[in-house]
Amino acid sequence: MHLDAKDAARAVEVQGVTLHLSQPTDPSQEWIGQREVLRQLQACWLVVAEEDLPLAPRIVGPPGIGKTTLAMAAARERGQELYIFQCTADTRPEDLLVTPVLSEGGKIAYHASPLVTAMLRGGVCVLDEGNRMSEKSWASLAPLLDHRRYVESIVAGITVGARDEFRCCVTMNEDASTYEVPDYILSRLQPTLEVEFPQREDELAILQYHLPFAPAEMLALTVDFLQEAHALDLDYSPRDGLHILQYALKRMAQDPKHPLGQDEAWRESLVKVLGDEALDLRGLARRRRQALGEELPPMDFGDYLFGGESPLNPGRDR
Amino acid sequence: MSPGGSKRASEREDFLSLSPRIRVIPVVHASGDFAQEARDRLLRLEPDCLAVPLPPSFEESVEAGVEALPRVSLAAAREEEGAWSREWEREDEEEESGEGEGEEDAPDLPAFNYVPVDPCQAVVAALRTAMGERIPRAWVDLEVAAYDPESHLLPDPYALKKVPLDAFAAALLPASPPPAPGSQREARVRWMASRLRALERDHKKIAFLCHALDWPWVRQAYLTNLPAPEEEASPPRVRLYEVEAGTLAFLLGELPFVTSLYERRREELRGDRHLSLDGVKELLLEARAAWLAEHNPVHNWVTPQRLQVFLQYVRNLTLQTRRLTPDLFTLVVAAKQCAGDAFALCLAETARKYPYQDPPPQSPPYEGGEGKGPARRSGRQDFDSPPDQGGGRGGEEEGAWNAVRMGIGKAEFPEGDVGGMKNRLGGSPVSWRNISLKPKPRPFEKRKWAQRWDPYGMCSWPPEDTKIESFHTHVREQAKALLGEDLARTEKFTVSIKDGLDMRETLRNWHTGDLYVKEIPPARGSVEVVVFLFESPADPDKYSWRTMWYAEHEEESTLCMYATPFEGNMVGPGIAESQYGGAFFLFPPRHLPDVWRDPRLAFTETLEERLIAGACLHSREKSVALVSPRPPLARWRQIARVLKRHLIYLPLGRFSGETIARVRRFHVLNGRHVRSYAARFIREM
Repeated sequence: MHLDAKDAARAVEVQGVTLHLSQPTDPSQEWIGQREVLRQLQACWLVVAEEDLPLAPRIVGPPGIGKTTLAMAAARERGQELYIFQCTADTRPEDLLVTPVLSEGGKIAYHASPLVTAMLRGGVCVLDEGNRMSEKSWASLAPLLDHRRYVESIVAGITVGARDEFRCCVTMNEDASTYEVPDYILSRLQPTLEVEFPQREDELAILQYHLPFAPAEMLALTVDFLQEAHALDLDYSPRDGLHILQYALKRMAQDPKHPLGQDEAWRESLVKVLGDEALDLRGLARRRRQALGEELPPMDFGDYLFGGESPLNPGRDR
Repeated sequence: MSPGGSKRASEREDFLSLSPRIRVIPVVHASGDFAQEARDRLLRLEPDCLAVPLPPSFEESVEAGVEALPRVSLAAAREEEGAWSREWEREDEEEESGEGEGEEDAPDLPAFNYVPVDPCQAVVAALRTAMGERIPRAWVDLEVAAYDPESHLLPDPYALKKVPLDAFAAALLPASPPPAPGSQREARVRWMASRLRALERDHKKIAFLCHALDWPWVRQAYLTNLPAPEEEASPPRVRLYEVEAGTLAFLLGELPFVTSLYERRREELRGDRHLSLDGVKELLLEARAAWLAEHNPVHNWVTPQRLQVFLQYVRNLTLQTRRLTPDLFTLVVAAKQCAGDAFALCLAETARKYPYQDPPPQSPPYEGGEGKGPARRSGRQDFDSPPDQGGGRGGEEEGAWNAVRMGIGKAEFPEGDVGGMKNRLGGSPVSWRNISLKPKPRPFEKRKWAQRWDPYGMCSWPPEDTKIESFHTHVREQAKALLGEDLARTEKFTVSIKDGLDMRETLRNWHTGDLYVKEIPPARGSVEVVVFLFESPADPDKYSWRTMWYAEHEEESTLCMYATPFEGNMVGPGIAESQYGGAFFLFPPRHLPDVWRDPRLAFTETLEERLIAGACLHSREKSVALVSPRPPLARWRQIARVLKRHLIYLPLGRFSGETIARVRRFHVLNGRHVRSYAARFIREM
């Protein structure tokens, strides 16, 4: 088979079969705040000896909170190529590993998935939304996720081993179905790293990073809203905040002669992005206070050890 | 040993000797490894005097505490009013220059400096050994009115397992800051050097235990014969306090559980060399046993393989913080991330256990009677009155039991006074990091919530509804796919690969060179009811709550279930926890007569039979999906046949046991208003 120079650079021969590699993703996204979870992810990928193996963690959290960004940031810190594979319910084992495609001249060419490319090039692979994938597809990854560190492509008839530098993680939404991921796979996807909602300063910095041109008042308005929602355990994420701001800015810029007022545009955007119920956070908070009465909600570990009001409780002033 | 080796060993010995009569044992406080090292060195050295870096005022109470070991106690001296001033002045300066963070309420607190009588403290271990071997002790530190604690980040003491003590001490030399001129530390160093010179006159072999960062400066002061400073203060009155068992984690250098292991090994005369790491493994196994006993999960997901991942992850997290042994925070975070909240809670609680502190004693090991400790201060400044006079705790009646609750840098004394605490034997600096982990409610809270329960207002917790609905929808789809599997057709490949290559047919026709593909047409019929049997056989006593729940909206199923009674298991105000034993979901929802009271189903004998019979009776479709840990019994199939239905069996084992355990657990809320705050109380499994 003839390959031109560019293709040749992105093709490798494995056991006599030429595999065309995928392109890496640009991991330029910045990770803002929550250094702890980034440190935890790096700890999973740390190896201390030749016989040591990296872990393949699950990154969980509500949608739009930055799970994929976290993995991208970790890959960037490690200085490795990043490959992202978007998993769906229809993902078949061959999609995950090697896909045969008809090339010019009616021949079959084998294309390595982002996962296999990361294995061959010693990069980082993020299996995005892994919970959506069926057991059958997961089963093909079982040997990769344990000490064997290889996959077998039935289609190409080859076994592909992972380089020592290969690292992997899976992002999963908690709201979607995870029932197809069987125990023997879950036990290989350990530990589970939870990304939480960011603190106020971090959330503001995230919005500013993505929308540096947004007016400060609108950024503040959005962060206030998101923080209030987080306090009420509502799943409105920074991504929702970005959408609200983007739509509001576009609405304001739509007619330069009669620009829409900031507040009005923001409120309209809020309803369009999140629906009517998002308008009534205050009401929700009030109802919650009424329901709770004087009962102090527990509880973190400081409350448990000392009691909420104890002067010894290190978390009392938070 | 070669002559060269013996020379090197002798040089090393010289390195830790102040004089032919004084041998230094540099230690890092609050470490089991250093406690071992101090004990072993002392036994090898066989000195005729042990000098410890504590002032004489602590002698009586600390030795009384050592006698009472393994019960842990705390010897504390209350400082005079304004004792914090110097420190706070310094911190104010730091704040002005933008450094450091002072606690706002600390200046108002009375200050105490204390010695934790902890078996994993090198000083305490050495004292314990010396008392056992009848070696005289000398308390060589300077009496001060207000102790200025200094904390420094030091290497992990576990390094001692690979590096000899002299090499460890030598490695610290470049990082050992000299005492600031005029500082309390300088005065203490000079005082200790002068006391050692005095001791040398009476003893031939002195073992001097000293902080690893102080000993080079004590040595310098000793060798240069610097004069002893003026005594700063009259000796304070030191009292011995019992420490509340639940707060020992804030006093002990090692985890309370690991400390108890050291004590147990001591009792059993077994080696404890690697206990600072092996203790973590033992803690893990103990926590798993506690978790199994408490939750009794059908599927135990804390397998040896999971524990291996846990230990590997803990190791990596620990190495990232440049330590060799993990702290409690790392262990709990890793437990939460590897095995879930419930296991992490069990681990946190097991780590805090120190059985020697329970139950509370009938009488104190030592009562700090008037003048007992300070009476030894002959030849030094007299004091007029006990420093804690009139200060809340000091003048308590004789014989009252003193139990202190320790916190971080603070302690609460039995009568509710809170004091700022300065540890004379402090290890590395400690900081509080919160973990998002909801602890179990205490029994009195449970009772209070149970009393307030209104039996007429019950509803479900919507996130759990969503979870179980999503699960049952998934199962229904699976069952429908099974229905369609029988209708699969195979045909020769032409233009479309359809539903995939039929390998079996292709191989059968290999000689023809043709490919065969599979086509699975949409199933005829559907599945309306899904029956889950999470445990079979189901114990009617265990699953005594049997009820129907009707849908609140069109997207929710009608639910018939048997579950554990929720009344005895309150987890929050108006929030109770239960566990499904079995349930059926009917979707789209409609109103059904109560399956548990329906006389048409009186022929059934077990909970499972009634549930299956109810499902078959009310299903409008011919097929009923059954998810069960074992294949349908002949009797269940017979019931389905009689009711003209067909059971499609899906083994429970094809789904993740961990997920099943989480889906089975659900919460009952006492009214819809509880939904607004239930998330605060509901714990993850």
